[in-house]
Amino acid sequence: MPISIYMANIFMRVKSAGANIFIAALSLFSASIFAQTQAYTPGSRAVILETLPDTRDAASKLRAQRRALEKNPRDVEAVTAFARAAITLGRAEQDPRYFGYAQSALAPWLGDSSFGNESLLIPESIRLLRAIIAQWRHDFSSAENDLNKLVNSRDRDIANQAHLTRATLALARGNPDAALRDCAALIGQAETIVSGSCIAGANSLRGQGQASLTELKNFIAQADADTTTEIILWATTQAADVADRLGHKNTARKFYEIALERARDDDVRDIYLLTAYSDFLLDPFSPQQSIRNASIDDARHAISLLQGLELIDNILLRRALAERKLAANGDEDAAKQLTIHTRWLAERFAATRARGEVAHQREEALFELLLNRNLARALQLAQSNWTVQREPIDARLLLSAALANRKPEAAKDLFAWMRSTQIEDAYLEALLHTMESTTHL
Amino acid sequence: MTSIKASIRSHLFVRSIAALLMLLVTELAQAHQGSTSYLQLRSEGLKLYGHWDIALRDLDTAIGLDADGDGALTWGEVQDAQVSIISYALAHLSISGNRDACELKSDALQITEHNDGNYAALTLSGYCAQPPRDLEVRYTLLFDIDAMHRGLLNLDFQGGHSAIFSPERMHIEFGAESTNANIAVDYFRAGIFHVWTGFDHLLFLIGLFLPAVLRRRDGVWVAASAFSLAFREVVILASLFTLAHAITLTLSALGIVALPTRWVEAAVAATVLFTGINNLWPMVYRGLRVLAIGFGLIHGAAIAGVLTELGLPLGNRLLALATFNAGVEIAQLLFLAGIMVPYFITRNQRWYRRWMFVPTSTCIAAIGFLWLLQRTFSPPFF
Repeated sequence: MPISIYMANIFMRVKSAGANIFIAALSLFSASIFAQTQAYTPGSRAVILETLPDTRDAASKLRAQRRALEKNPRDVEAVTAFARAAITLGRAEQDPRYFGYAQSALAPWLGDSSFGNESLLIPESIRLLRAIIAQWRHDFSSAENDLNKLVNSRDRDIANQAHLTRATLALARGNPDAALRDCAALIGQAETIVSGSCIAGANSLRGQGQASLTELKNFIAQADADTTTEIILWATTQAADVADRLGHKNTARKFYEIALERARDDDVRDIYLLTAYSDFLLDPFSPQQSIRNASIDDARHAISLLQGLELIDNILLRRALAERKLAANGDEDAAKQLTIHTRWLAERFAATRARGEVAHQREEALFELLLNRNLARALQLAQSNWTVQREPIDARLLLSAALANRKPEAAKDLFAWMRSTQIEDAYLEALLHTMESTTHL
Repeated sequence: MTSIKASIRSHLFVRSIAALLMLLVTELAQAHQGSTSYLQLRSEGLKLYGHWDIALRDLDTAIGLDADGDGALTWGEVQDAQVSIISYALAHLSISGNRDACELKSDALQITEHNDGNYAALTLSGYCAQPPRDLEVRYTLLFDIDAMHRGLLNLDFQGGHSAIFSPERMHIEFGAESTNANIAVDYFRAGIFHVWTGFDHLLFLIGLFLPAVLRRRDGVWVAASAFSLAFREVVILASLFTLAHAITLTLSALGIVALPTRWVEAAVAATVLFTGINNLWPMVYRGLRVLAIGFGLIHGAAIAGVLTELGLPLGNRLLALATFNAGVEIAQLLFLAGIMVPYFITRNQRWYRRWMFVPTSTCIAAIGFLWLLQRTFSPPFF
């Protein structure tokens, strides 16, 4: 049954800020979201319909914690513990439901529509959690609002976490100067490797790449047995990323492999590391023509790294990009897989759009640009993404999309940003070079 | 420096930073998708038809389906939980036509497969009291557990509509442009309805007006002698109460004054309690008028809460508010008229005091006390 949407006939109380997103989401609403598969009655009672998530008992621990919460929904410590556990699990499994669970646990202080206003006194740990979840959702301005109130907390721990979170937020928005200020606030308050890596990371995006790389190398070398795996992985991945941007590919590869090995040794699954390394191996923005043997090996290496994680959209995207490379080189199996995975990705993006979420524009733009080849839509998404996020990959994406559409002026904002941050990025430079030679800038 | 190092390395802090780092660098990637349910509804005349797909995984989280706890959900387990699933689902969905609740039920449960797993597929059917001019859907499924759950609605009612339910938007209206006449009628009826079902309010009125037909003389209640005097007193009290009531109702509903619901509900209970007690041990009898005003202000704020839930239409808020107010006041006055008749007739009887006045007041005080306890210490549902 075709669905037409009568906007004027819908009465709703919509806060104007959300209206545009809402309307945009609805206009992209497709009937295919609703079950095209028929409802059926399974043949026997023994048929298994769903395997419930079981991550080494973490999920069942979470259930027990939630039951305890039901008795005391306003117990700050219990809620904080539950929310943190949920968020950790959500991150490990890359499963948004857990973030939803965490957010509902915060409801007694944050209010919900039926009861109205939020409590006047939100405990700091609750506010911090709200900021973390908002940041994860890419609602950067809400996160910043909360963090601004937390950085001056008398609780040193909260203040430090707020500074670190705000620094990460600033980097996500392409503001390394602001990030530097927050990183500097951690000096003497946190382990040297933490404050140091934070500062180096910020500096690497403000034109001091080489110095930052040296610093990061030192921190990693000086890390002792007390330093947790998470921190080591973070610092090492950063080092790899900086080296990569400076064009030191061998160094980058070395650090990525070191990080991988450490993650394997300590049995830690680091999705960020996997996607960053895959991006390095796949070099998705380089012109297709330059496919050498080495890059085929890299593509295979990427696929092996991402094995078994295809439920995760970001991973599936990289996998499909790897298959694209192999298929272009004549691998027929890869070509078949590519078709299937491209369809899966299209369905997943449609589903998240149907939910009214707009936080996946980067991934969707990559998909449209590199796999689906809807160039106009890719550019639109890349530009929209640029208004929210400004990490190096977002810059490369925008420039690439502008190039593909032969519209260099679409990346106007980008050039100004590059000048003001003095960012060093070999990929951006390569794309700029291509742009100059093709359009005679 | 050593002491700082010591505190920096304190286990808890290091762990929290490490944990935080891992939370921060993650990108928004989805293994599985966010929790979504798919609701299709069709309105045809009086009848309602629909389907509702709810993820088995979500149902398991909400009400527990894995009876043997082995982590594998079988059709047998789902079948056994069918009644619970249906009642849980229907408890979180309500549909109203012209502001009148429609009946909704589900008889059948099957399975449907979506992108991210198997869903329980409920077949819905129902009816409204009259063919709806406008339809209002209220959806609250899973929001208390998962703030990122979304309900996707496809509605066939005077054309096709799509909507997304979320914790920020649990209630959506669809329908033809409400004419002024429609608004006036609907809200007037709603006003009357909510007075008749507002038991705390009614109890308060009963208690307040019981002594209206009496006079205090020498520390004792005696029947007011002249009918006209008693009647006049009642009219004055009722008018003052109505006026005060209308004032706060208007101010609260328009958002000019916003009192926390919990406080208001508890205050209403307190007024009931006080009224009951005051009848038995009069603390205020000459000042009954002041009481009527003061308590009227409180009750007005309380019923404004109802109006907020109903929602005022985007166009013509004032008309809706005015007619709601009118419905409330007229219903109140009718009720008062109703109870005043027996009061008047029996006020001269000896047994009025003993068998009507005292017991009723005692009950009112007792109930008011219970409500006060409930409302002060638990969510404002009562």
